[in-house]
Amino acid sequence: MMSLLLKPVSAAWLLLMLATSLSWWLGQDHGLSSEQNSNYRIISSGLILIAFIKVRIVIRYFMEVRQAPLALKLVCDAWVVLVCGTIIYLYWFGIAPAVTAI
Amino acid sequence: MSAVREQVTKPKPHVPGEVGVWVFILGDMLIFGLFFIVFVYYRGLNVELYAQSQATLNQNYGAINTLFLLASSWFVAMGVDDMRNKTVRLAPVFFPLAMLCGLGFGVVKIIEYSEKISAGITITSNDFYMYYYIFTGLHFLHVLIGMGVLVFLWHRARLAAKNTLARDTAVIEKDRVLIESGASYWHMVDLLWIVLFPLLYLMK
Amino acid sequence: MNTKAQLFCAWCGVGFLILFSIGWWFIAGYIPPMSPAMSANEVAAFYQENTGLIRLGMVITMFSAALSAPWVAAIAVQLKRIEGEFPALTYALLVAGAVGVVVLVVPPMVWTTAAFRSERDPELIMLLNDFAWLFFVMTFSPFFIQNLVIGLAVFSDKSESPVFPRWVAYFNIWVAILLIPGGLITFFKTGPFAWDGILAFWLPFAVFFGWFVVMFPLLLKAIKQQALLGESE
Repeated sequence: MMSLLLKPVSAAWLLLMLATSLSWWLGQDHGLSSEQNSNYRIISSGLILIAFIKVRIVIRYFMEVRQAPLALKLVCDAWVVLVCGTIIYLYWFGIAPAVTAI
Repeated sequence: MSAVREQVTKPKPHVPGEVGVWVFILGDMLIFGLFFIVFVYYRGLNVELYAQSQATLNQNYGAINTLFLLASSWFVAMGVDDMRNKTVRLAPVFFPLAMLCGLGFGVVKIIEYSEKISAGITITSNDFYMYYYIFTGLHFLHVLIGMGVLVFLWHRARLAAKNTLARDTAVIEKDRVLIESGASYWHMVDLLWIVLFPLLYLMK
Repeated sequence: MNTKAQLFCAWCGVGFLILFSIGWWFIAGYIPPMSPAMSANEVAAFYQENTGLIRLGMVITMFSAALSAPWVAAIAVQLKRIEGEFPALTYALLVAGAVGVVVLVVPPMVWTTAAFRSERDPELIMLLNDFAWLFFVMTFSPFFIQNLVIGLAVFSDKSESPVFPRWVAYFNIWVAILLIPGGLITFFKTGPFAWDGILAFWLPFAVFFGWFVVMFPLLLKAIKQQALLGESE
């Protein structure tokens, strides 16, 4: 049993569980009111970033793309970067008009 | 040639499962990526509505479901690893455990949907809920299909375990393609939820 | 060996794409799709302002739809090579393909009916327009079945030189799933899941088009492979 827990994929899994718990905690309303506290934008961006880091860990360690040909590695990484980047870009770009309207 | 023993030289790169399954997996990821982007775009046009509606979602359900799927992926990874041995012992236990986690996900999902529907929140209630139902619904469909895939993996694992004579490399290889393909699909289901959770439940 | 007939059928698929685009897209002007949120007067105005072009475009569209029949038949022949004596999936493909022709032929006829007497009550024009759009975009089922059975058939191909490469099975399953969002248009008049929406229209539309583009060279290759095998016997 110990040998199972010592595998890299198990370490990855523990990290993912921790990251999920962290995101859960960060996503709680800690008395931050959305309209007044601009930190929520940083936190939300961070949550998305964390999510895609988790995704990359799943791809590399669980799906074992770490041992895959370079082409597959690149395509998977491209997906992670493009989707994450676009989401965060749109998130900030979409927020701006609402803030200036206040 | 042993697929099992660690090699001193760098192992040859291999496509997990087979090329075809990655056509499907990457294709599916492409579409969900499009979904995510469309959601954030439309959200940007009406942040107030989305933030208000999001507040009615139960983040605990979302987080528990993430933990369920992560655990299930770990079980699947352990099962896949065991299937690479000449004698298979643990895989027939790991795959059902993964299924149990999937079942847990399903139960929470059904509870969550029931709560929402009894509160009068449906797919046409507003734009946020439209995305909520369609994306999580489509994902849930993938989970259900994934349960079928896990049943298949469990079946292969039991067959392999029954074979008390050590399996030869040809058999291991044939199993490898099927097992890794199925496992990769399940991990995709997991990673899609990893994005859906913060996107729908947490992002303010 | 009727290679010529098979090739003709395969090329009908190309003909379908080209003529459908000419009739429905370029002449009748249905791309980009009009919004389901338009008022009856706006819809009637569209038909009144473009009457001639719509009528002409729809004749061509209606004709092109039937070209999908030989195309499907060509694929069916290749599936039969895989299945052999009891080609259940092949038959399913043929039936689904026949229904597919209906799904592609009826909406142009309804649209052209709207243009036939475009001075009618705008509510009636809108009714015809709604019916045609819903029929056209929402009826994904026969095409879903087509792609599903192709996928299943290719998966079942255990021969040494398969008719289609294995990834084609996965590709067809993926296409089948992506046609599904069209089914949601009945719930929405605006947004990505309306009949002019990015996810319910553009996505399935692009995937459907792309499916032809991918399958056509594969089909040609399979027909030629079949001819070669036939000659060597």
